[in-house]
Amino acid sequence: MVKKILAYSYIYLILLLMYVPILVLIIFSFTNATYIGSWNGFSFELYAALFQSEEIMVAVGNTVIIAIISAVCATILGSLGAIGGFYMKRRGRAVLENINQIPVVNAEIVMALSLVVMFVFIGNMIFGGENLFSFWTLLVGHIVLSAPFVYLNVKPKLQQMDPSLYEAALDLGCGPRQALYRVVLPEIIPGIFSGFMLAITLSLDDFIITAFTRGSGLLSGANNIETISTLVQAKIKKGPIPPEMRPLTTIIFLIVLLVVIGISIYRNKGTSYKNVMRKRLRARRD
Amino acid sequence: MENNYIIELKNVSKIFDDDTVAVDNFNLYVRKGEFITFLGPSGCGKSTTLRMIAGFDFPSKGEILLNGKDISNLPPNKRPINMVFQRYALFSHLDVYDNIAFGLRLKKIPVVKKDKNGNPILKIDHKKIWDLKREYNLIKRNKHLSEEEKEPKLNDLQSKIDYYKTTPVQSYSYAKLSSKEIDQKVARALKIVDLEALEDRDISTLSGGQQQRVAIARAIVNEPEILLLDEPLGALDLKMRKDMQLELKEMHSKLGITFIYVTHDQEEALTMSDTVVVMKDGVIQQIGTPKMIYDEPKNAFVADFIGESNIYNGTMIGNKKVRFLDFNFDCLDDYPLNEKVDVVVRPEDIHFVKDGKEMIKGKIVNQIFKGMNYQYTIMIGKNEVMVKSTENYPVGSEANLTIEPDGIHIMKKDFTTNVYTDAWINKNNEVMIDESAFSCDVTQLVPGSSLDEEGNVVSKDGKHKYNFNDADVVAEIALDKIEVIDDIESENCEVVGEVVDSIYVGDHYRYIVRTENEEDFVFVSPYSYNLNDKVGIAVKKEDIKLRLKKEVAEYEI
Repeated sequence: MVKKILAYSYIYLILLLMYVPILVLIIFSFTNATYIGSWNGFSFELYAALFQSEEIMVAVGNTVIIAIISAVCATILGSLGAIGGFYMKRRGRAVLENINQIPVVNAEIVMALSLVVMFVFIGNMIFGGENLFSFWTLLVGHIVLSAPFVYLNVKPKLQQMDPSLYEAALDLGCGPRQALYRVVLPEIIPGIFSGFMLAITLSLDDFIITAFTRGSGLLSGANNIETISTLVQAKIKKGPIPPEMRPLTTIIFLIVLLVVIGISIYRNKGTSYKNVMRKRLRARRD
Repeated sequence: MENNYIIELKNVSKIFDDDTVAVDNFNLYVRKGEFITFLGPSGCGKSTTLRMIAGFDFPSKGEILLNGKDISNLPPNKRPINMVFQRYALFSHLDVYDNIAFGLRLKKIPVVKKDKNGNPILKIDHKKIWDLKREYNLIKRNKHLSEEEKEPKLNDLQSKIDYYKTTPVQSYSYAKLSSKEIDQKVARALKIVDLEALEDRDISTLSGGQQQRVAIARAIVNEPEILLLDEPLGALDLKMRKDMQLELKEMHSKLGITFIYVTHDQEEALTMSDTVVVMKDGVIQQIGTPKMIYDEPKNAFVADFIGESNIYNGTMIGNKKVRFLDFNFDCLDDYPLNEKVDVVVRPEDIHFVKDGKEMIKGKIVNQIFKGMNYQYTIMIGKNEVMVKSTENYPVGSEANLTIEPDGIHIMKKDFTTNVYTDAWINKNNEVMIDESAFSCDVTQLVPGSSLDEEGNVVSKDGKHKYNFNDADVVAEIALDKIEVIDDIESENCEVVGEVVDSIYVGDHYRYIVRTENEEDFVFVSPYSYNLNDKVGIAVKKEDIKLRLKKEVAEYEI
């Protein structure tokens, strides 16, 4: 009995440590106090300020655009890499895996610096001294950052898969490409999806690579592209964390929560729709 | 069609990239509706043969004909053949119904395209040309075929390509099955495998036996001409396996399609098949009905692999008389005088008789109760005899035995290798062939393994350890791998024997050396020895091939 209580209290303690900060953040997004800790009464003032601040809205827009585009690219690259690697001969696969491993364990600063050096080098040597830094360099940086993680998310799903599944699909009449779409892909889709989510997260809160590889463009126009993380960094240099960040992070958290709930609802609904169609067919059987 | 064979394999060989020969010159003719089983130990090429029929592997040489048409290089999705996989290979993202409907939903029914007046539209068939070109390149790149073999095939294909390039043919549009048609077929398949109640279940919630049924339903719902089954019952427990064997057999007679079944379980093969193909090292050992294979095994390997048997070295001593176990038996087979033969006697063909009426006398050293009967081990001189009887005799008592002539099966000795079916491994990891120890490489029993300091075999990944002390094995030594030492006092001799037979074959001699314990070693040599010469014999460690009689897992520590 005591053991049970201890076990449960341990779990609840950890959950508490994980979620209390978020809870505090949400609560303090509903007061207009500049400093966290003081409570000026309930208000939506910060939310209004958040949506009125053009600076923040631009940063949010930039961040979301970059996150989505880079995550899509990284997911395609990483998943194809994992599938290709899986069907490679043993030696080729080992090489690919090691190459993929290096960016994962490498310090981000090294990657950021090397990207800068490469872009400057290419700009000087190929484009005749042109400044390449723009949205595109930033995008390349983010893809390079997250593609290896997508690969690592997809690979275990492929390894868990029964190797004869692909052959079974061929046997039942699929062409090689159809077999990939209809059998291999659905089998590894959870890995691809979690890889995609991870890529979004990595891109959303990335600071180092963003700061090094960004140039002008996107919603920032002629100025350097500002994302949430670079904006916060710039603000902190001058003073305290801007209070509008509290409603912003609250909204991000709520969106994530909605996505998670939405997915589980969608899954259940999908099967029940199918069951209705099935029942109709079954009723007509002789 | 000139014959009623559904599938023919002609001189089919499969040589893998690393030059291992998996299947060697395989010839097989299967009639429509037959239940045929490929039987053999693991690595004998039975699964590779099945994969070539399915289309997952293409033969390096030879051809596979389906209803008389060459399908050797056709991809699996274009063959009217379906397979039940060893570990089922069910699609876990689909439920039972969708798994079974998978093949039906892909099925396309060709409909001839017609113009307004109802005449078929003629077009150049680019897809057909593409397929032919693919086959052309496959044959061209096949390094196992000689230029002379390739040429007629390539010419034939080239003329076909030219024909399709210039001649427009009927074109087709493809219709899919309606969801109602699919539903009816799925419902029928579910009924056949007795799973009507589970159609909405997820695959992961099913038991092994149920998954097995889904896999079978998924294959037969496509109405294939041939159903391939790759050890489909291997993952089920014994009781379940027995039930499924009978059910599969029933299904076969109900569906009337051809079943090609692969197993290493001889009992399964005998229970289910119309025809059994026994294979070893990629070569067919014997093809026949289960009864033929059991009663008249062609060689010692088949006899040893199919059912339990006593195998002895015998000598023909007269017309239909054979000597083994130090007794002259009457038999039904006629072989030349003094021919060395393998004698196979099934345990149930040796009978206990009253004292005085016996042919041979022995001592019971072991008795095992098997439910139906007792299994006795009886020592006659230095030979072990396995006997089955329903009567109970105490261990240690004397046994009086007879063998009827029709219980004695005589086979021409297989002179390609020396096979010792009652060898065993001693504690020094040496193989004991007839009381003499030969050093051997026990790590070959577990592929990729190595030996540790204590003499245990450690598997490649280091996870499993085996101790093969006392393990029963079958040892094989090729004729040309036996070294003969003239000096019988030499330390290198592993066993000493007497030359009892010598035949001159073309450019060399073939000798039989018999040891004191009546074990024979056959070897070839360019040098001449005289009969009754005493010689020593040695075999290099790596030249003794071993095969475990039981599963390797039994020796795991």
